[in-house]
Amino acid sequence: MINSLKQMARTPVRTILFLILMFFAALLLTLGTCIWLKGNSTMAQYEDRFMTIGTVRQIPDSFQQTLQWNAETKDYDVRKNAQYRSYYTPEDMLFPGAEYIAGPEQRAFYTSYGPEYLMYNVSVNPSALSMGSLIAEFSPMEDCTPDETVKIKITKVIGGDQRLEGAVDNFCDHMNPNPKMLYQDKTYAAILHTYLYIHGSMYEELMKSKNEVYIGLEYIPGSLETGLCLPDGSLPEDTFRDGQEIFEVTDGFYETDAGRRLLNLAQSEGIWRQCQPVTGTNKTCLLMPFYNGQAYICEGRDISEEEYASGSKVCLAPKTFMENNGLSLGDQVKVQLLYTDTRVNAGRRFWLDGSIGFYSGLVDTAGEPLQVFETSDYEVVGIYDVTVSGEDSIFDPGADELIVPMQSVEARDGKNLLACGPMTDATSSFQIPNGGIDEFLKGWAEYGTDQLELTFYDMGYSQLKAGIDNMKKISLCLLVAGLVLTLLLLFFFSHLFITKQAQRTAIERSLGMRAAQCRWSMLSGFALLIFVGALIGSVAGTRFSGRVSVVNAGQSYYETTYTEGLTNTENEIAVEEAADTQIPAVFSTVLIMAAGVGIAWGKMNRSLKREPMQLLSERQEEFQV
Amino acid sequence: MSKVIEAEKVGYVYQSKYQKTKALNEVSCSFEQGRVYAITGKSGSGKSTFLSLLAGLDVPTEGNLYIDGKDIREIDRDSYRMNQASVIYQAFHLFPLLTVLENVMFPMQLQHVSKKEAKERAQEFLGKVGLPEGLYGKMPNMISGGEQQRVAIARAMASGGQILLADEPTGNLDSQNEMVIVDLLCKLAHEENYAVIVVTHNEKVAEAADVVYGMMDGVLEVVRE
Amino acid sequence: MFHYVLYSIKKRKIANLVTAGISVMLVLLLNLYFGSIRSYQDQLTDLAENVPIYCQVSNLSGTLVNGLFTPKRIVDALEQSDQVKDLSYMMVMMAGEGDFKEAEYSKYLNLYVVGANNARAVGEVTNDMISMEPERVDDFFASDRMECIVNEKVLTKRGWEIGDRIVLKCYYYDASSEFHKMEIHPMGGVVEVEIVGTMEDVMGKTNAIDTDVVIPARTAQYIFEQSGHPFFADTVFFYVKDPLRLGEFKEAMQEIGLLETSSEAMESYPGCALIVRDANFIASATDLRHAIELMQSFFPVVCILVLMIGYVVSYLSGNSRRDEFALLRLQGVGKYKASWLFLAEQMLLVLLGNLLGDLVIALTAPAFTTMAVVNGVILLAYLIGAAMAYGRMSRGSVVYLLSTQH
Repeated sequence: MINSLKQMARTPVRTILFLILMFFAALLLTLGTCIWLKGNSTMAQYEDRFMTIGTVRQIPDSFQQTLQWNAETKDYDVRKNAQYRSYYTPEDMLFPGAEYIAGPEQRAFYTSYGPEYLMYNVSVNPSALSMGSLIAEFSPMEDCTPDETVKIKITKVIGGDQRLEGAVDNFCDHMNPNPKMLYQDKTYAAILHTYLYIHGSMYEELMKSKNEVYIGLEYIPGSLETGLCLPDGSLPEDTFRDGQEIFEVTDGFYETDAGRRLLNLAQSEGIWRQCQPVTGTNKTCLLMPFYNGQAYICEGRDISEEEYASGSKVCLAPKTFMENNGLSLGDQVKVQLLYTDTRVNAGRRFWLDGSIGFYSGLVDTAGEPLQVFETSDYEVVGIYDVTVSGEDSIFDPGADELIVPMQSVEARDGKNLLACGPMTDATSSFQIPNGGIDEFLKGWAEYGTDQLELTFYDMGYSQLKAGIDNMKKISLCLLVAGLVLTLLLLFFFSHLFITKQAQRTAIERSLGMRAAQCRWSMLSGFALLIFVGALIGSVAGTRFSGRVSVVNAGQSYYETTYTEGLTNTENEIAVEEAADTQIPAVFSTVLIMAAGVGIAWGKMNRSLKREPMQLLSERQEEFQV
Repeated sequence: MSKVIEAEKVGYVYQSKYQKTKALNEVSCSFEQGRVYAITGKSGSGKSTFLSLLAGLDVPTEGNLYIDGKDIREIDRDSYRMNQASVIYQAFHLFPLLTVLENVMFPMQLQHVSKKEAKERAQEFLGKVGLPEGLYGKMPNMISGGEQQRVAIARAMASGGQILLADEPTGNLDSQNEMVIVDLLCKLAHEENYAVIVVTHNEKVAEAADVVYGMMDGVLEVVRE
Repeated sequence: MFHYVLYSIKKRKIANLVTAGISVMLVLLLNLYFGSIRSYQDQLTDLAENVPIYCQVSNLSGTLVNGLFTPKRIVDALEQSDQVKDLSYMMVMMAGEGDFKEAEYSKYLNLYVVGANNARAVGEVTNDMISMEPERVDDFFASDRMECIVNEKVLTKRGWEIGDRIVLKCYYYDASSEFHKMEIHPMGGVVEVEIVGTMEDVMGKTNAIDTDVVIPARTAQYIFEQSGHPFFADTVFFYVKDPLRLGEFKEAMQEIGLLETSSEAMESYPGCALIVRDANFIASATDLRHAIELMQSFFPVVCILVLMIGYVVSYLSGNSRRDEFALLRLQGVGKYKASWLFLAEQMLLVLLGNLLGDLVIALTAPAFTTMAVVNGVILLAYLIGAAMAYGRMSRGSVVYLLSTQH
């Protein structure tokens, strides 16, 4: 080896040029690998921002028309109700070849009773009268037939906002074509719901002298029937269904079935202002507000895949709820599940403006008040914020809505089911791989059903897919080109170094050096040159690409004024930079050493296979090689 | 005198890319220590080929070649060239990037002789071939042809073998240097008991030899003994 | 002598193949490098085209996007802005049929009239929900004609027909200083509009109200102007025209006077803030820009690398033929001619390599300007390397060359 090194040192220009060549080969390979790795990493991150979600809506089998009396128009309104022979379940969407990343799922939302919490609807309007619904005793201001808006005095509030006691308000037995007369000297009890605007002669008289339109509402009586439904959408038997709604209060009235029923219903009146929705899901992005960016995690983290799978007692909580209740990340929220709704999403009941679409009939078929069926403490792992959306309002999240793993709710079979329905776009969704819509639809066409309508959202991935594939292809080609070029350079190097020194090998053989010794004599110097050049080149490549990454990571290109949600532009791959840059250097050095020595070994073997006599006899032809 | 090399109907065929050539045809002869042998013949007669076989650089395709009574096919030819036989060439074939002294030291280093001893012996051998000390540190391309050939002879002596094979050793030299080399070769044979086998088409070299073989078209004949 | 060049190329197969091969790979490498940058840039353009950025005017607290009072100057400014695309806006009025006494308004005031500049602005409405020739729908909304489209249910209930001219007395909403309280005032006078189409019964944009009558936005503005009352838009939304110029867009919005929402702000009705749904675009585009800048930042190194590889390979190649060069000189070929011969051989090989590389690129992803630049760079590098090698050789004496053959 020493002789080999000695001879290399006595041709310094050539040796240095070889070293430079190896340096550049290693630099090229290292940079190429770094570019490929970083590019791939960035592109993976880019591609991960896209998600393909499908929503599901069951198409009604038919529509049933029902007539409902309208006291204002003095006519029947036609109401169309969708009819379903049966409800499809997410299991019906599992077909051979279906590739789901998440779901399909049909989500229920639960109502959690939280009297210790300040709910959004109260915070928005703390002193607002909860006029929407109450159970009260009342008397008409005069004898009247409530076939149009009449005045009543609320003499006693049995359930609801007590401040309404003594108030004079509007009333109409709006949906009854033949309402019974009400007498001023009698007291009546009923569930009162605000319904439509006031109307009728009394109203016209009242408005004659006023300039502004009084957007007033009238109370209408509500049914005492249970609000529960069965999972198939049918209603359980209840003696109060389609029955009397206005009851005269006489002695002992409250010992009667109706009286007891009213008292039991009264226990739940006004409860809505102390409730918040809880939605169970298997993946946060299956909820459209999170998918389309209307809701975004502003603090903490998302619920992990493992937590979803294991049903951990963790949740995402809205920012307003956390602020209103002085809670922070990591705190526990007590959840007392009271009712279940599988028909709509939370946003259709707990509106973002603070209004609530309440349920009625919060008793079971026996007339007993519905009770909390599950109590748990959930740790807040992430806080999310919501912006109002003018579009896609059916997907709006609910005010104060907690997001929990579906598996964390034990009573998933639908306890205290107050509303149920088929799969809808807002309650049912699934995730498939990006670019997989066509494939999925092919399978769906074969195995699926026309009764389920699918809508896909892919954030524009389908239009971008060709470009993304092209980027990946070119990136790979660039790496391969770099590899091939490096190999060619090694081949060139070994050709000049070894083939050109065939004469030296012949002389050494003629002096009695064995083939192995000749090989070592030649390759040792060669390997050393490669190693030194490769090492320096790899290190230089690593340093350079590392410096570029650091500069690159701090860049932000777009103004975030007006931006809704977080942009997550902190360079998520910055943390991995340090580890990443070592790999290309090691890879390059090892590859170049292995390839270089391998190529040289092959060339040496070729030389050594030929007898020295032949080598020496071809000495005049060397320059032709 | 013991026969160090004996050839029995040795034949050799060259296989090149396009054709086969029979370079040697049933060559039979023997070589003893202490004598100078000249193999003469025209260019292309097969002399250099025969010399290369004698050097163990290849094996005969026909016949047998014995080195110290052993068939050349059965001995370690590398070891043979390292320890017993040495070759010098018309083109000298010194290592161009090693100095004169390093060239002579090379074979001893192959035999794992210590650097100090190799150096001393190399200087001794260079002295024997009459090379001035001032040239020891020079590169081969800085000395004359005659000097290069003397270095080659010194390198051949450095291996310690007793067989010296020379392929047209004076081909690139002027007449004065030619005689110097011939004298050296004769001295090696007669004083150092080498078996010196010289391939040449130079008559003067042939005249100095003890035995002259003539090669024609691959067939060897004794010209003078 | 050209014959010698060809002969030499033929005899030195392996070395020439390697030289040409290196040249091919350098061409491919550079073209792929630029191609890679281009693909990222194309993707960025595609992203901007296929992932629209939705913008919505809201109140200052960001809690309301419908039922706002967005001043006309903002609407006009958005309409005129070249940064805005597909602007949609609507306003809501109440109306009664006929010229009734204002004292009797409570009896007659029962129509919701929506002025909109396109179907989207009305609500969950698409052009196919409107019974009018499709090409006429856009024209209707863009016009300022006294025409209207009526809800099917309303049409039936009131016994109207297409072609009828109906007289409407309009009232406008006015927000009082207190949130959740709104007043309605007469605009004065009546307007006569012709029914030119009908519309399916759908929920309007502004939550609970129905959409009974739809008139073009310009017609509504005209009605406001005639009555001398300020015009306000209830709902305004649009898309960013060129997401790649997001910064300019946001500057323009700031100039218009639109503010960022603030969760600390009190609830109010004025439409003075803007919500831009560009988080996803920014995140995705930033990834792409990172990738582009990463690639571009390697540009000087890649260039130098290619140049140096070309130079060194060319130089070493040339240098390895010193003996041949010496022989040519011995034959009597002049030094410049000999250098020229070798240079020509080298350049021919490199040119061949370049052309092969260009062919591959042309078949896969042609970009002719890039190819021309790349070829020039590589040829230059090789030329310099070879020229250095042969220049050095030609300067020395033949004897020296022969003596330093190795």
